[in-house]
Amino acid sequence: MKYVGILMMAAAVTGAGFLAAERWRERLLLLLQFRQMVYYLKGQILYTNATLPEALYEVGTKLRDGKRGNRAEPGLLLLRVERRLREDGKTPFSVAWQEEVERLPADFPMSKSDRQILAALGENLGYADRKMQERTLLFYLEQTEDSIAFLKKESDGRMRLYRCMGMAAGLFLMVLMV
Amino acid sequence: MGIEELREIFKEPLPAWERVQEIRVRIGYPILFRTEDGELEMKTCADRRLLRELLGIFSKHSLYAFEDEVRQGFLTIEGGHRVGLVGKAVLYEAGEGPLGAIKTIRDISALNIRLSHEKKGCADAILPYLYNGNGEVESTLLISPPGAGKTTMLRDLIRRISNGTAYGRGIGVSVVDERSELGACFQGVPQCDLGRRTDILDACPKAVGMLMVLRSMAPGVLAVDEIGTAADLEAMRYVANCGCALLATVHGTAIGDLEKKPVLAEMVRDRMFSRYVVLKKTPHPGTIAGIFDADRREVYGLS
Repeated sequence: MKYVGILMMAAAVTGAGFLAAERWRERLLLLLQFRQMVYYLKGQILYTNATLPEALYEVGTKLRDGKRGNRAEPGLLLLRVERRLREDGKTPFSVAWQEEVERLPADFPMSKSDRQILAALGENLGYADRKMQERTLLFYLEQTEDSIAFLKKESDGRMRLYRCMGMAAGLFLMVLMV
Repeated sequence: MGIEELREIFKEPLPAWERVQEIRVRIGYPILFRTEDGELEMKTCADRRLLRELLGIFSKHSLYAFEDEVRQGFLTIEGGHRVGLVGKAVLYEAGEGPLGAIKTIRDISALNIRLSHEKKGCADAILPYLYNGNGEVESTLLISPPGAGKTTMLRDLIRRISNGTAYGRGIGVSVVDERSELGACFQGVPQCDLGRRTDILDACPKAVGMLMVLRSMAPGVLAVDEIGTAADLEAMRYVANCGCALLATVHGTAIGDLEKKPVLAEMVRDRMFSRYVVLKKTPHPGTIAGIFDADRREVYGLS
């Protein structure tokens, strides 16, 4: 019984390491998804001349469908903002966007700075002409590229480190308890 | 957009929705409602904030999507209502765009919200004059001053011709709705009933759109609102030569006005239309002032 307990504890610690690695990977995947979201929005706004609610609905549905958990959040975020604009036209877009970004789950795998960049995206969307929309979206892409490059560069090493640390900690615990 | 939403915006009791024709919002002045019976002044004075808020709501926080329309001084909003706007015009500078043309309008100081109405049955009185003995539709031009109901009449005419009447079977109608006023399309779906055999090309310039739908949808009747340019004339000539009947509207107060305008005079000379329907505002919008044949002989009341 004792050994089963030790084994389970070691497995839990090892699992925590794997979980940390997975979270790092998810952070990168989400940023890539937000980048894709901005490309879609750019197409909707510049190519089809869609209004913001129309663009948010189209892109939101496309990004949400077939995804679950955190991976569905970028699409759901757009759909929540679209619903607010539809139901309460008086709320400015920037306010609705900011508030919905703040409402993303507390454990959402996104750094504070990435959240701030995402919130800032809403400040100038809808303002002025089509060129301004393009510039706003490109500015977000530029800023996000830096984070994506950093995560990509670090991801292999960090994920390996988290997994190894988890396994090492599990083994250490086993040795210590046996 | 309906009365409840407007009530929410203006926060004051409004007159009956069917009676409101125009809402005038000018910075520093009370909001005015023009109804069939006259004007109604509200207690609320418009300010810059209200105008900005209204523009945000009307454009769905996406004024960029209405750039071309703002340049022309109006935007058509959900429901087919037209919002005219004035302010300070910003012109293109050298190398930026067509010199002297309007780039945009800033510091918008007044809005004229012209409400679109769907009055089913308002075209019934003119229908007997618009069919020939074989149940075919005559090419018809509706003439009226602004606010006299020509768009409302055209909308009902399209619906009736499309669904079929006592005078003829239902005919396929294609509508080139450049300003989205006829069908009031929202996300591609018309909000107004234009009939079961009607296809709508929304937000497309008339001259280009007429040729497009002629080739793609093979309509029996083609309808457009507010014609007047040389390009419109060329496209309509092509359509008429293809055996397709035309339904169109134009600003004017009398049949004689057509000959004073070069493009329209040419249409009359070419006998492009075989019926002219003149509408007037009094005693109510949509009142028939006269119906004329291709030779501009009065036919109203003879049928």
